[in-house]
Amino acid sequence: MTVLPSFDSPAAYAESLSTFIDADVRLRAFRHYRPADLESGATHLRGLQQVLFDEGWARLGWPERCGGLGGDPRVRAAMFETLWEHDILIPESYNTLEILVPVLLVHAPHLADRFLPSLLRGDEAWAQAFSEPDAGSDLASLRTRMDPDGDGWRLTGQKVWSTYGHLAQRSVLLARSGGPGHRGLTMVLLDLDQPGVEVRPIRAEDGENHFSEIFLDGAFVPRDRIIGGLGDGWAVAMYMLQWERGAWGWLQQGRFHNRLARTLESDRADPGAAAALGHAYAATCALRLHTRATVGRLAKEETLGPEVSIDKLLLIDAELAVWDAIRSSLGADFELDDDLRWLRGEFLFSRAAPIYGGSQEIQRTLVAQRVLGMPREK
Amino acid sequence: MDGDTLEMLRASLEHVLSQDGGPLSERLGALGWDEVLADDAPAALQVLFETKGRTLSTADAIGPLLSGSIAATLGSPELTAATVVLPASLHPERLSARFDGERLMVAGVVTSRPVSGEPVVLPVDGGLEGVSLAVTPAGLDWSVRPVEGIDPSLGLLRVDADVVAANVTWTGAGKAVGAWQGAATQGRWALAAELVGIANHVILRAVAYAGERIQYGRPIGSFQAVQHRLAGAYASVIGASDVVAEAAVSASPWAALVAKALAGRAAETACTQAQQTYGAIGFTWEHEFHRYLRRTYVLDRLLGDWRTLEREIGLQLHATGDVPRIGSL
Repeated sequence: MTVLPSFDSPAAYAESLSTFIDADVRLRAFRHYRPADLESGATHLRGLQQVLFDEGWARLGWPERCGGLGGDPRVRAAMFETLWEHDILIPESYNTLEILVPVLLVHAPHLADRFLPSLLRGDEAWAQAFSEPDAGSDLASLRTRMDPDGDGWRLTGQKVWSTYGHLAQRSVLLARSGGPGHRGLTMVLLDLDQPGVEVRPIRAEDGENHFSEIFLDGAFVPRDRIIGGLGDGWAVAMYMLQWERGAWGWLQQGRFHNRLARTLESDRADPGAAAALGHAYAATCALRLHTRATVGRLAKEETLGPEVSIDKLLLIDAELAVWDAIRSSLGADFELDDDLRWLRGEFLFSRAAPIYGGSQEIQRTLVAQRVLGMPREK
Repeated sequence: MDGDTLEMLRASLEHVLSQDGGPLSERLGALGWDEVLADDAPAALQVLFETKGRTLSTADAIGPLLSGSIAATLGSPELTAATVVLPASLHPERLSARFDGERLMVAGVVTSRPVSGEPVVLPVDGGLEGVSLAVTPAGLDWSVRPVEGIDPSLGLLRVDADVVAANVTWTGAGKAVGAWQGAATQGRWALAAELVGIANHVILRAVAYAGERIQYGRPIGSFQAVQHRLAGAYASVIGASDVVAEAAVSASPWAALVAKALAGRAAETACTQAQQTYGAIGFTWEHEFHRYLRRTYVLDRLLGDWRTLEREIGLQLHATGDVPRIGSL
């Protein structure tokens, strides 16, 4: 493995990584790559994760004690930015671990120590499993049971909308260990490869298996796989939102810059859509600079409150505006051209922006009541 | 500037801006403004303009900002307090001063009354070369009339002039285009900051009203339909203010263009949602709301309204094929 220098700034890191990407022959397989389907994409992009891990780039910004190389956590944000600049797709695994691992570092450091290297290297993948058929926006009403059994617990119930669940080996899952409401919940790390677990992919409107249902019938969770304390599940989930709503937005603005640039490159873009394009770009700039501040605060280990819902609201505005502008720019090619299948898939998935990770309505209610101090509904 | 210093500055500026009389520069002088600027000009100016928006102050801050910027770019201190004539279109690329070789014909707008004999800077349509800057002493062959318009309180004035060549000095040869662009850049992010100040005020006042106004036995602010309007608008204002801050620090014309587009759109959205929250009372003359609405429209138009700017941003992206990232980590 190459020994990386320590970098003075995220910008210095980005510059070096950029040079590395241009020079490394292994990475040619990932530039401008568009998968035939979601599963082959996940498999192919594991190769990217291996190179970036083995050469150290993906280990910078994570603590040394769990397999990282230390340094400013913002270099992780710089890595995503640089990959997008080189038109390299971000593996879904990176998205997931950027949300889950910061939570482990605080609430289950022993799990971070054990699993971070294999997650970063793409040797295994995890999926988040919170939602249930009857618990979407109203997450605290979830019913998956967690019953004590020997040196652990047995899980019984059903999870849904677990992103990339059918490609994951483990799942970070929220279950009911106690009474009703927020207080009875516990977060665990569950091995999916065991009896009592059945994972079924759900085909999304773009034709790809974006998420899964997970059926649990007595699946076992050992005692040391708890994230946070027993009954602390809600608090840990709320802690996770800082990354799910904040850091996520930074990742996405990189993608939006990339997609707008690719559209303009294609020679098919219609200047008649300039107003929509200008609006989309401006919304992306707002998302970028707002989430840059959030990434900076997270790097300083500040605890963020309900204001992270603003990051998500800006993401929703930008994501919808960007894909609306791309569709306008491309004219009939957007609907008819068979070469644009992958792009159309991303467009269709963008319609979920006001739904995933807490709906637009939930975020607006949080901003109204907990940031602006408006009265709660009786 | 740290948070406490900013808060103190905000309070002092609110006091200064709420007083009447005398040019703003004199009133700011008493505050030790030069030292504040020397410490952190982008942050100080941002607070100044935001506070100006929030308090609906009529003091002319944009005029001195434009002339100061031109004077600095050209290295011409005598122009620091000059009056800058804006095009009648209010768009910095649609100039309305023309020179036919013998006479300079001007139809523009100024933000305060030029003092007789003092220099006036005129951006003149320079054809293919872009823009030239003419300087002429105020008062010769001038007609200066107050603009009523949608916001008479702002004190804009319409200037018409027909100046003979003998009274015109051309300045900043080779640097005129950059000087005018630099002024438009500063003006754009400053106006964007002012629009953010207005938008924040308008939303917070509507939030307060919705907390007090009882219908169906409960405050209307407890209805999600009302909450969601104001929360959505608030997020847009926060996003715009982040770009304004970057534009102020970077002095990049592109960032200022984007900041002005975002702030104009966010301020209009804030007004729309606040007005709906107020219901009928918001349509009265007595209520403060219409004064903020009027101010929003004029400030949005100054140096380019958001619809025009969004289109310009899109056309420039098309022309260059580049999608630049504003600000780095």
